[in-house]
Amino acid sequence: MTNPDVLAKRLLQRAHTRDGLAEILIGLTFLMVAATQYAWSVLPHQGLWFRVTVLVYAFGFPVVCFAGPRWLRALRRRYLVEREGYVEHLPRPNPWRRAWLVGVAAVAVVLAQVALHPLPDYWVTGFTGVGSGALALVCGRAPRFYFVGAVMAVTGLGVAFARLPMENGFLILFGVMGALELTMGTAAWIRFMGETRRAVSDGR
Amino acid sequence: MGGKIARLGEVDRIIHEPARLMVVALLAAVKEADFQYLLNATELSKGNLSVHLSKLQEAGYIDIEKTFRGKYPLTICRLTDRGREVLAEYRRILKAAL
Repeated sequence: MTNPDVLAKRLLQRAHTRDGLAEILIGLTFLMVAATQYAWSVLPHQGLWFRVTVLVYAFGFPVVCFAGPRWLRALRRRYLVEREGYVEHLPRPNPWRRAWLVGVAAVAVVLAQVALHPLPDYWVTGFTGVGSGALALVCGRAPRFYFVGAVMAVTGLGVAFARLPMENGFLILFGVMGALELTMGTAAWIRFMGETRRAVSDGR
Repeated sequence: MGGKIARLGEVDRIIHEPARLMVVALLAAVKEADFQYLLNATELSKGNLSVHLSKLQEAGYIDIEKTFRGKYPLTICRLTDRGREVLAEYRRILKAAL
């Protein structure tokens, strides 16, 4: 006996993650963060390019996080409707709920940082890896997400136990997470394109 | 409690079938979706999905509209009010029994 609401949520999630585009976007975002970390470690702190990377990090990252889902929706509707199919979602019953959740998550991250402050820096990297891994497990609910989540957690813990400085730790962690997400997303995308080839050639 | 469990026998047989329950649950969570989207989300075969959609349409639980988006033909499915009522009743019986 299946609860229809839970079933619907899982089916919508499956439809959302089936083409791998969400993972590709997340992978590129993580790689952007890793590249910024790398740039900060090599660029002179008074230089123009250093300031540019700070601006990219400060504005680019939130913009991708908030606008990313809309970009994906627009991309699917504009170019992929014959493969993805068409769906019109219900309007959000409470649009402020998401803003509240984002706010609560931001406060939780700040509180976690305050709580972790007495610990050495490398544990922040460790907890980030474990937290990201847990998030991948909860959000994905598919074998490939379990794999990605496990690798994220292991990488975070590995970096923590290696006692790397935070900058290098984040560079490795986000680099690995980004490369992994991008690879898995691209593999899912190629498989999806192959599976939906008939839908395009047959028409509906 | 026993009475509530006994009510499980009253669940609507049309939407109780797993494939049709997937379709109805999905359509209840969105405004409308086309055949290809349902095919991707449920991972049923084309023929199988087509048969289940016909049964749901015959029962009056979904509306099917054939239209175009640009040059692409779309078969858009929507849950009817009757379909929502039946799903709500199904949900009520299930919650009470489990």
